[in-house]
Amino acid sequence: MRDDAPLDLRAHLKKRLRHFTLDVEIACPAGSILVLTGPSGAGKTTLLRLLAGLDDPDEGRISLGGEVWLDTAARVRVKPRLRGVGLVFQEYSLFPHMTLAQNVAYATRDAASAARLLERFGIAHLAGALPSAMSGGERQRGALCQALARRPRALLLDEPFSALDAATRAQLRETLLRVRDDFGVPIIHVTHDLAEAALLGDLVVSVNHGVLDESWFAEQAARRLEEAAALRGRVATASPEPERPGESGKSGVAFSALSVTPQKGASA
Amino acid sequence: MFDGWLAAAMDPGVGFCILLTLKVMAVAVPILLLVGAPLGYLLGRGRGRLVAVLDAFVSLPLILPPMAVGFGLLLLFGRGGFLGAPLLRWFDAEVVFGFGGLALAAVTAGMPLMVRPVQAAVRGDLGRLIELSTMLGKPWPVTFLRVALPHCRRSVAAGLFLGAGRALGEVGVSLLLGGDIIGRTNTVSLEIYNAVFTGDLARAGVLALLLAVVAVALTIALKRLGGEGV
Repeated sequence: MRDDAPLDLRAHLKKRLRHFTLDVEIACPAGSILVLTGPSGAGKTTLLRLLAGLDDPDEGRISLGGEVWLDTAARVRVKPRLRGVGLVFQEYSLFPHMTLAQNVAYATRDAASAARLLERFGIAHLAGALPSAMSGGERQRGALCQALARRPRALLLDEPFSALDAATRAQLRETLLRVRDDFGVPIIHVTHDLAEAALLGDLVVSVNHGVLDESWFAEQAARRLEEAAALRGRVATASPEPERPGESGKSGVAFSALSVTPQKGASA
Repeated sequence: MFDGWLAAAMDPGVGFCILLTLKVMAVAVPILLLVGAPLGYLLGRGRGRLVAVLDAFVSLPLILPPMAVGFGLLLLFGRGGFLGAPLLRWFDAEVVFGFGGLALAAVTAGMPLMVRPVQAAVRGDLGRLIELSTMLGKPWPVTFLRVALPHCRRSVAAGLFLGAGRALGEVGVSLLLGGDIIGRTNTVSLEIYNAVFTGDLARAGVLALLLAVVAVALTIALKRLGGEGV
């Protein structure tokens, strides 16, 4: 899609936050998805905003290939709008007073390429619709179109799918993988969803209290597996025992390993 | 009493100060809109010391007594002032004790109330849309006109109503910058002060009633703007 070759995004950033200091070094190769995950308030979104230039670090360096976007030591700072970064938020990802076509056209002077993008993402039929008339999935697809319309050199996604239902999230994951393959730019994707991280990430990085925490993702994944196993065990053992003679009419259902009394108003 | 009020309303002197006030507002309101809305945007979005200093200066008329603000502007724009002297020398323009002084007083008094609602609006949810526009490569004037303004038009209108209302009722700064010269710089507010001072209560009553009607109209407009359905 691009004339110039996609480039790796590298950053080492430090910023004092209220409860901890964010100190992270990352590298996202061109054509790959780096997933940033970790607990809430760990500094993931801050890191994304620093990369975009919407916030400034206390010290650090950001480069795309040989081009330096930020170097606090050398007093270099490229303005956010000149970095060529596509950014998609969880909410407010489209301008609500513009139709989808106007939203995408806002990002590019090339109306034909805007129309092609809508076609390609399967939302051309919504070109005249306002975002308020679109579903969450359609809006986020439109937001991706808008971000890609200006031919970004890197794509930053801040929990773009978190407000969507599971089926839509799965569709959009497919879309994002296609974007990765077709556009070949470095993509940094913030998510809380461990499954999404595992499915999308060529690299998965966990941020915890402002620093990279290599064990966090593995620990969380192991815990989820244990929980899933326990749940499977409960389901497997939750077959009702045959009713004993003389006990008919009792409320509740007796299980072999787990006794559950139906809640008031619920059917057993 | 009614005859006295009617006579006061028909007085050419009253007509003059109403007309003068309308002229001042005709200059001040467009300046409030064209300067205040972008200024509110910049103060809401900007960072750094320069923005903080500018913010403090814009807020001064809300905090300082109007007489103190007027005195400061008098020193600045007077014949020998830092800005007044070059204006007089290069453009033969004297700001104080004339129409220019009244317009400057109205703009100064109304500006903080024009700026604040816009400043608050761009710091809210609109902030994300502004960031989105920035990341799409748009410079701030484009973002302001195509994204911020369509979204905070209610805040802009609210600020304009409040600022215009404050400018309309301005006395302290106008007194020092305009001089309250009868037949030249006595606006409606200053004329109420003059009339009360000379005991012409009918004249003061007519003008005060006029300002009250305008104030009520502005309040209703503000409430309608906020969707309160008056």
